[in-house]
Amino acid sequence: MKLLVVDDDPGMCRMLVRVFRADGYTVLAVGSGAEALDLLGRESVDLVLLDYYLKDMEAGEILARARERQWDVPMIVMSGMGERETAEKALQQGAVAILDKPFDLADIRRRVKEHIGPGG
Amino acid sequence: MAPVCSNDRLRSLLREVIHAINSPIGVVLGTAQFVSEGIRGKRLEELTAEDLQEIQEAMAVIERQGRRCADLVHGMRALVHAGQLELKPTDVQACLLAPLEEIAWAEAGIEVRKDLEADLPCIMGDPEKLREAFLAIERRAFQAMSAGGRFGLVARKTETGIEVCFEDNGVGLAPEHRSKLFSPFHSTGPGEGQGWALAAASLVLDAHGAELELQSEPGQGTRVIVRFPVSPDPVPKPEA
Repeated sequence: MKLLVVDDDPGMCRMLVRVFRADGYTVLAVGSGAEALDLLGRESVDLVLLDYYLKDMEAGEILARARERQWDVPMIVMSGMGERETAEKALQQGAVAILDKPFDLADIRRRVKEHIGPGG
Repeated sequence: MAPVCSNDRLRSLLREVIHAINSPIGVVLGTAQFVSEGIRGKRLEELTAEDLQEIQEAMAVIERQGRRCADLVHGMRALVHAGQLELKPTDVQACLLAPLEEIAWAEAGIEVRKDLEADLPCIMGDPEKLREAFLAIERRAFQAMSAGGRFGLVARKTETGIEVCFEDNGVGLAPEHRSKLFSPFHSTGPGEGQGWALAAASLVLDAHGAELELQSEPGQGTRVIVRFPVSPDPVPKPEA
């Protein structure tokens, strides 16, 4: 099972990569929306963990592009603001779940497992 | 003391604080949980070399992220003090010129042109805070011209006060950066802490009742215009 972490905070990327690799997933990480779109266009992944507010675009834009290009990959959006409108917007745009930062590891693991099952 | 923050501005600032502090806290929390899981229930003598390496790496991560939080606190503290002015007769021209000398323009291939009206009126202000604010604005212009360029500083009297224009022909700002230039968590160029310095500058100018206008286009340079109101009662020249 392959995960893609998209977060402009390198510390957050490294932490998630470490945790999910230890759980047996293959994990890729990128720091911008443009890199995420580029990677999703040429590589198949099973789930995306996507920060809502990236430096170059918001998660909504990535969700919309994914829909346009018919990439059928579940995306869990991580939001730092905890605003109901942001969560609702992301869900309308096609996110499968929203996680408020800072999150508990148990929560994010549970969400990932719900959608793609356990790592290898 | 003059109020420096409207409710909207405060809300917007708090949103940015939340956004900036969430990641380091999340990383600390996640790292600590991850390592705790690995060693839970083990006695000291049962820890493996891998466990110890995980713990060492985790401590380094926690220290790094803790420092990020500490830097945020230092920056926010600077903002708290930015709007607290010690008002006295202030020569705006002197406040504009002093910080100009702190930047190595010529070494960076930047030509500086100054056009300051000789008899600008004095204002009641905080000269030290104004110098810091102008330094932040001038330094931003400097950083926007890494390949050299031209910097212009113009100050003139208007019907209602003093208008100061800082103009550079550097890289300019895209609309998404323009709206965040004076945000404490935003930096468009190299140099740590520039976001805080510009945010503090904006609060200092606000506390002086000055208006701040930004004109910029990518590739076309940037113009920062500051308009100070001037009291109808003349302010005496500050003591030398």
